[in-house]
Amino acid sequence: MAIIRRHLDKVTQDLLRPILTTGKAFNFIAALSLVMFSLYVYAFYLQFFHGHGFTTRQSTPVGAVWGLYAAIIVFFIGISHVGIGVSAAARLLNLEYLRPLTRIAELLTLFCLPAAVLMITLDIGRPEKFVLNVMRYGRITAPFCWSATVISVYLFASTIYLYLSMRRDFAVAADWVPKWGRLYRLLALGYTDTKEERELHERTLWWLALVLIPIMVSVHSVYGFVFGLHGGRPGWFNPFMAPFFVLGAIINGFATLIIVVAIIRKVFQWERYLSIQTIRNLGRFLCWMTLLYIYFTIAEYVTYSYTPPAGEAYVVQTVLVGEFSPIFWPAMAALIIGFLMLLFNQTVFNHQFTLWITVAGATLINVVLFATRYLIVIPSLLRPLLPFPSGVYTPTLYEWGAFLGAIGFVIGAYLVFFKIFPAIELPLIGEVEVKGS
Amino acid sequence: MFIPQVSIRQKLLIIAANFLFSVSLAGTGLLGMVRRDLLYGIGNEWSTLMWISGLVTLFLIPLEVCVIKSSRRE
Repeated sequence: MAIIRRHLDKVTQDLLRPILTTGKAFNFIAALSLVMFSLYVYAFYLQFFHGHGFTTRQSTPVGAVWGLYAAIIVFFIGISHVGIGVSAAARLLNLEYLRPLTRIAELLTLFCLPAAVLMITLDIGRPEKFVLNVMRYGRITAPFCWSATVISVYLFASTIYLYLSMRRDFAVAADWVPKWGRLYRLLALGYTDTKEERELHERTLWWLALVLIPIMVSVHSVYGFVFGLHGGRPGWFNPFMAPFFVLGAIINGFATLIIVVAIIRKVFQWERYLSIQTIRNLGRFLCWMTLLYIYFTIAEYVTYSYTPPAGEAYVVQTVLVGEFSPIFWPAMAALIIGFLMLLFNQTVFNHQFTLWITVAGATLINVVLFATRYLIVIPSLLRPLLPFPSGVYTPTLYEWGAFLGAIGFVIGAYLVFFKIFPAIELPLIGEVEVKGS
Repeated sequence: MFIPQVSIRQKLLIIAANFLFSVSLAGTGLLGMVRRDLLYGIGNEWSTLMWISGLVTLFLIPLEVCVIKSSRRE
């Protein structure tokens, strides 16, 4: 029943290197991510003992109590959207060139979803009652309850998907990584890497990928509904909200994936496995999705600017010419620059594709996406619904600290994973030459 | 790690039992959520937990398909 021990080829050796050796950079980044995460813990502590108002500094009668927290939640949910999506598409459409980065993408889902939940915990205001109250009193009519449903299902199903896709690697790596051998054998659950087992796993993963795609779309649609179903809140009540959020999530996720893959490629010197052509294809897709996003944004603001009701008029005015215009216009300019960087890198400079231009473009687009999330949440919340003066909101250092903490959590989770498990699918015996070529 | 081997029939039974359990749990939870007082949100407590747990446990089926070894494959 034991797996047949095979010769440790160069590719497998290379892919197991991060587990077998530890550099100084690893310790430094691990310490940094721990410090960052401690900022989240500190914000949590302050909010737990002093209340929501202490961390958001909410003092006016009208204010954006959801504030930065809600923008961060939508941002992380957006990133998590693409991970399993890329992996599922690679499996369903047989896109072999995406296979080496599927695990890195799946991890984005697995780490960014809990990061979003960390922020939801803060956003709720009473973190100690968060899970208990949703599970006990959650109402079917509440989008928050739908969100708890889809996040739980997506997270669990993604974990099963990742586990099944890793089971073979556990069995193979058990022989070559002595310090984690027992853990790998335990996780392999008797997997012996026979042809039948491999086929069964491939078939099951194919069906699971098919089921995961609609769940993935529902996760971000639900966040669109969280905003779009607010009938009384100007700027939010919009049937377009769910598809707009899904599109934003696709862009957000692909941009982050390009950055993460480029960093991993450089740090582990895995240029052979995470090829430039793969990143180029991701960039190409991101480029056209960004164009679609620009179109959606124009359509949204043209509609809102053309004889809007009083509430919408207030929100659009603050965004286009009011206090939020210093965020809106630079963000739009950066979005177009990011799009042009991707476009020219793919078309005009077709024969001289430059990786850093695509990575810089993706980074720019990611920053813009965060700014647009901020602009969806804050201006609408500041518009008074009762005869009060307009509200004021400036994110506090505690809120920014919590954001850094959530990023630290994701970085730390990646580090721990790469230290214990293979980051790229280990090749089959006959596959080594192809993968290494 | 030792995983007990079962017949293909037993494997199908385990999967079918999982499916029935999950669908019943999710269905009961959903019904409880629908029947809850919409104004005050009282009655049928923990229905949301049942609904979510039912949906989540459905995804144990792919795990059972791959991990449980049946005699036909050996």
